[in-house]
Amino acid sequence: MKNICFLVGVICATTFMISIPQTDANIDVFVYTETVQWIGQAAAQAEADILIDMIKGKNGIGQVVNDPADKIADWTKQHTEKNGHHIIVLFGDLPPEIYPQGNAQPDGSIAEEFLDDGNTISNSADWMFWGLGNRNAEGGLRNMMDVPGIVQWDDDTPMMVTPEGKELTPSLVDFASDRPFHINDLAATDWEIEIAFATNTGNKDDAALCDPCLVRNKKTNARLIQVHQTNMGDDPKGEVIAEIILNYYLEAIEAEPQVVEPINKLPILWGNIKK
Amino acid sequence: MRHNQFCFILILSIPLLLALACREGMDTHTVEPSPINTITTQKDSAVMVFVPAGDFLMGTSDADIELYKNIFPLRNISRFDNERPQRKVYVDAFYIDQLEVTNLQYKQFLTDTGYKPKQYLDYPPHNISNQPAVVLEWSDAAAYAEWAGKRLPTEAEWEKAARGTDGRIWPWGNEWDPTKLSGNDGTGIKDGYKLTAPVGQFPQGASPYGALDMAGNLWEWVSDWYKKDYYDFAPYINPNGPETGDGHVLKGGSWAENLDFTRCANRFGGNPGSLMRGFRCAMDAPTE
Repeated sequence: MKNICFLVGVICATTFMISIPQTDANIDVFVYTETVQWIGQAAAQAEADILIDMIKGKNGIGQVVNDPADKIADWTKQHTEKNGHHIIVLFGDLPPEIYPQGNAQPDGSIAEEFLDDGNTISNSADWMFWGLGNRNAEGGLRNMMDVPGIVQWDDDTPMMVTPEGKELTPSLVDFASDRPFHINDLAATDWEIEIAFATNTGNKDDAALCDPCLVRNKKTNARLIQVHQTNMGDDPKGEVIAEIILNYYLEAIEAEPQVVEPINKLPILWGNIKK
Repeated sequence: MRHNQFCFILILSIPLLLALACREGMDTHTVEPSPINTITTQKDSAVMVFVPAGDFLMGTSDADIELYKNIFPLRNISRFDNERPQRKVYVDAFYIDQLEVTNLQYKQFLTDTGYKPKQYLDYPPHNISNQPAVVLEWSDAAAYAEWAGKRLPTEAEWEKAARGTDGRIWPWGNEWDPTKLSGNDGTGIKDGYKLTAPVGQFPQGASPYGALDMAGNLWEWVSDWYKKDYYDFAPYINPNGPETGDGHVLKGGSWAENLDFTRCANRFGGNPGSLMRGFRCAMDAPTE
């Protein structure tokens, strides 16, 4: 009897441990500002400083670094295969240290491996992964997402804050986006709009374009966060990125279905356990 | 009786005609656009339109800014600082390509010269023959112009060719009309093209001198270096840009732009990033 009680106790304790949400997620963040596009370097640094001030030391946030390009490859590799939901924040340029220029490595780049591991890249200012000096042009985003044909055209597109945006990103106001995410381009792909903070209609459901918004890969949990992709716009990029991370992202990654491997190697879905 | 009626109508007509004539010339005391006058250059078989010598209004006025506050409510007004002050500018007579340089023309240049462009998007859907050549680097555009025996237009020439003398906002006038250019409507429903259009598809959006696609399709390189405050010290006669600057000026907007960036006065420089750009050429007109 004692043995049975002990066994039940162990099972219950194990189940409880497994089902505890990861409140100490320790998301590390690499903020990259050495090269930027469609935003001045000083302006990007100012936004980065705002972002860092807002998230540093907050519950769930681990190390926040603002290092140059020669550090980003090592950091990215170290934060891959940790299933940690770590974040790289870019201001219009994807450095060739993690995505070889000219789309020379369309698959398997350090940056793509980082994404495929369930991590996240945020981008502001110019077209996501276009690259300084047109290094990658349209190919960058297409290769990183494995979505042929995806584009981010449509300048001057009015973006209206959605109800979710009003609740979660109080610094966000209506603005004109120059490189919005095209929601229809994600149809029949592994990607979906997880949340839209502003869209061309002010709602997620009937929108064709969004910015800021968060796009998630349904298979890998990779996420792309687009925030204020505007041409020389003086939008509150730093504040909005921080609000998305603190008010949405940290909770979203806890709630997502993710594969864990207990001792017996049987995959268990967090989401199923929580239900 | 019939003679009296004729005299009466004639007398009434004179002040009306005078008023109309004065209205046309009120803003600028400049040479008005003449009927479209073209030549065709041999090397690249390009039709060029003639732009006569004279003054025109370049840049954006205080009145325009008041208007823009309503047209572009989500834009920060400081966004227009580099287009100010509006000023009267004189340029000599010149010819400018009626159309943007096409892939057919650009590839002829590459074949003839063996030139290796740094950033020419030679892949579908951008490289179709009658589509404008997407030439992302200024030097690749300037090299073509030299081969063709021409040059890139100055910013002043480009803007005069686009808007004529009266300071209009877009090449066709002051009313936005998405059917008059290859611009951004997201779907292609309004202008018929989701991306760039083959050159010359919008005759209804022609400039006063007959140049086409000056608004939309592709941003266009001009010869001037870019300085944000250039208009503060630019000369009145034939301004050709500062000695150096932050990249070269781009004009006209592209298929991905709408009301704001396709204005004739709009200018972009420095960090063009993902702006899709091409060019057209100019040449001096013979002096009489």
